[in-house]
Amino acid sequence: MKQINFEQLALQLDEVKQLTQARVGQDDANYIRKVIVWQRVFEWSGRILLMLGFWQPLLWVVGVLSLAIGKILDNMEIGHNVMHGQYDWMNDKFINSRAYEWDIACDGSSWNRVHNYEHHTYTNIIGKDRDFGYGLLRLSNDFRWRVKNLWQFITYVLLSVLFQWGVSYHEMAAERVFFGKKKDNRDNKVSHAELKKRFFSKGAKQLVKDYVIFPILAGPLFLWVFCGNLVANLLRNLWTSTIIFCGHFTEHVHTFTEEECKNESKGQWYYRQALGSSNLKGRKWFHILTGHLSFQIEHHLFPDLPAKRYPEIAPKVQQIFQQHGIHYNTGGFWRQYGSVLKRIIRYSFP
Amino acid sequence: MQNISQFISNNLFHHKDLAGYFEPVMQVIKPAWRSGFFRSQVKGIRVLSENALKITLKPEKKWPIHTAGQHISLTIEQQGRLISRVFTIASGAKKLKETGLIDLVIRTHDKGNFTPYLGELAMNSWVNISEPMGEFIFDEQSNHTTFLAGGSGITPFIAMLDDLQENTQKHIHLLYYAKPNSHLMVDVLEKFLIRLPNFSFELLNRSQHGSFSKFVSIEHTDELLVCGPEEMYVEAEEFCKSRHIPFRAEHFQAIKPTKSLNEAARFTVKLNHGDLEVSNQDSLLSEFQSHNKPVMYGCGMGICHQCQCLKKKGIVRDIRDGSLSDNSEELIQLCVTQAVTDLELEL
Ligand code: FES
Repeated sequence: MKQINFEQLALQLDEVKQLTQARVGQDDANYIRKVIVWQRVFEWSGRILLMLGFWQPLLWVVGVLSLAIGKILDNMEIGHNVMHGQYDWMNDKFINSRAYEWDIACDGSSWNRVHNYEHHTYTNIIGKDRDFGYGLLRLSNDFRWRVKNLWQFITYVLLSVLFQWGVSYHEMAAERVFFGKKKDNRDNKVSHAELKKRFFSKGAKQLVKDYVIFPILAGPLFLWVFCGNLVANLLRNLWTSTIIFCGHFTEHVHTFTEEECKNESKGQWYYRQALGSSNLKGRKWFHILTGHLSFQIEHHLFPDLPAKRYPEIAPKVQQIFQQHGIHYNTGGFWRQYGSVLKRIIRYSFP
Repeated sequence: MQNISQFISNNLFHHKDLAGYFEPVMQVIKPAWRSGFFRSQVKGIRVLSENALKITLKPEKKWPIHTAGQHISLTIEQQGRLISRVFTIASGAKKLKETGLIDLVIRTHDKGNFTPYLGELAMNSWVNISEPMGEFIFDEQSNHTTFLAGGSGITPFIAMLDDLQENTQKHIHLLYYAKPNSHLMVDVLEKFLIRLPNFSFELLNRSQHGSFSKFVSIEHTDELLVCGPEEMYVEAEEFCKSRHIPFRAEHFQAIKPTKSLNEAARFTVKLNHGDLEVSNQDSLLSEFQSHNKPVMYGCGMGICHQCQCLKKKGIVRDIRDGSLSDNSEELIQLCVTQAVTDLELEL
C-alpha cells in the first residue's frame, strides 16, 4: 500500500462517522418509515394497475413500472440498508437487521453472511471477497485467463437478467454445494443442507407469489399479471445489477492481495474500502432508487450509518481523500457504466 | 385465523406479521399505531415534586380494563428510538370506566435514559402501552391488610384504595417510606382517610424511623403487600416468613452498574440455553469463544452484524466509543460489547 498517514486518515474518518452518528435520530426514523409507505404505495398500485391492462394497455405499462419501483425500493433503500443494521438503533420490532426479509429470491440471512461479512470485511481482497467478479467474470489480472472469459460479456448480460437468482445462488456456488470440490480454507458457517433448504424455500416462495398466486387472484387476467410480474422483476434485476456493478467494477477500482492486507490497521481498512468502490452522481430520486449505493464509497466506509446520510458526508470524505492524495472515484452514470463495460470486455481477453 | 394471516404475510409479503407489514402506512393515519401494542393519548402531565411526574393517559377503547395493582410497559419514541419501561398504574379501574383515563406516577431521574423525556411529551401526543400485566392485586378475602410502600412504590396502593367501595369494612394500614418530605400523593392519601372509614397511614423515613417491622401490627395483619426497592422487599419477605404472615410483593428495579467501569469484574450472562460467567475486560464474543459457546460471528470488528443478538436485560458498553447501552431490550453486536451488569441474552 502506498505511503499515506493511515493513522490520521482513520482519525479523520472516524470523526466524520461520530459527528454524523450523533445527528442520527428522529429524521432518519421518519425517513425510513416514509420510504416504506412509498414502497407499499408503488407495489400495490402496480399490482392493481396490472389488472387494468385489459381495459387500457397503457395502465399495464404504468403498473409494471410502479411494481418495479416498489421492488427496487424494497431491495435497495429498505432491504439492503435495514439488513446492514443501519436502523437497528430504532429498536423497532420490524425495521431491523434481524427481522427484515426482502422481496427477492435470495434468503436474507444467506445474503448477510456473504455480503455483510465477507464482502464488507474483505472488500476486493482476491480470494477472500467472493463478490469480486462473483466467480463468473474475470475483472482483473489477478485471475488467470480462461477460454470461457471470451464470452463473459454474454455471461454478464445473463447475470444481470437473472440477478436475483445469481445473488441467491452466490453463497451456494461459493461453498460448492452442488458442484466442484470444497475449498479447504472455508470455514462453513452453515451446513450445506441448511443452505439448500433456504435457497429452495425462499426461491419457491418468490416464484409462487409472483407467478402463481397473484396471477390466479387476477382470474381471467392471469396472463396480464403473470407477464407484468415477470417484466417488473426483470427491470428490478437489471437496475440493481447495473448499480452494483457501477459501484464495484469501474475501470479504476483496485484489488488487493491477502498478503497486502495482513495485520491491516483501521486506516488501511478505510483505504481499501475507498479504492474498492466508486460513486455515481445524480439527482435525489436517483440516489433513493439506488438505495444510496450511488455513494458506494461512503457506504463501504460506514456500512451501518443510515444511507440517507451519505450525501451530506460525501463532500467531507472527498476532501479527506484529497488531502491524503487518494483518488475519489466518482462520475455520472453513463460514464461509470461505460467504464464497467470496458472492464468486462478488456478482461475477456488475456 | 392467525395462522392464515401469518401464512399470507410470510408468503405474499415476506414479512413476519401482516399488521407489521402495513404498520408504517397505518401510522400515517394513526400516529404511533404499532402491531402488538395499544395506543394511548397523553391527556395530562403534572409535576408532583422536583423529581416526580403524574402522567394521565387515555388508552384506546380496546385496551383491556386493568385491575388495581397491575402494571404496564410504556413505550415512547425518543429521537426516533423506541424505549420502554414498566410502571404500575396509579389509578383504579373505576376511574378508567368513568373517565377513560389512567394515571402513572413516575419518579424522574435527571441522568436516566427514559424519564427525563417524559416531561417533554406533548399534550394529546400518542404513546404505546402494553396490556395490563401482573398478579399484584388486592385480596378481596383479607380483612386486615398492611401495605408497605417505598418511594414511587406507592402507586399500586393508590390504585387499590381508589377502587375500594366507600362503605368497605376492610381495615387497611399503609406504611409509606420515602426520603424526608418527598412522599408522593399525600393529598390523595388524605382524601382516602375521609372516604374510607378503616383506612390509616403513616409517613415514615428510614433515617428517623428505622425498620418497618415495629410498625406492623401482627394481630391486625392477614396479609402484607409490599411495593418498593429491593432491600425493602427482602426485609419484608424475611419478616413475614418468620411471623407466618402471607406476603406478596412487586418491585421493578432499574439495573445499574454496580462496579466502577474500570474495575475488573465478572458477570452472569443468562442465555436461552444455560448461563455463563463472563469478565468485563474482554468482548462478549471472546468470552463466549473462550467458553466454547457456539456463536455466529464474522468480521470481529463491528461491521458485519453476524454476531448480533438480542439483549433482553442488562447494560453493555460499546468498546469502540465507551458508550453504555440502555437497560431494556435491544440488538447488540457481541464482538464490540462488554458486560457492565449481569445480562440476559437471546442468541
Ligand atoms: S462479528 Fe462482525 S459485527 Fe461482530
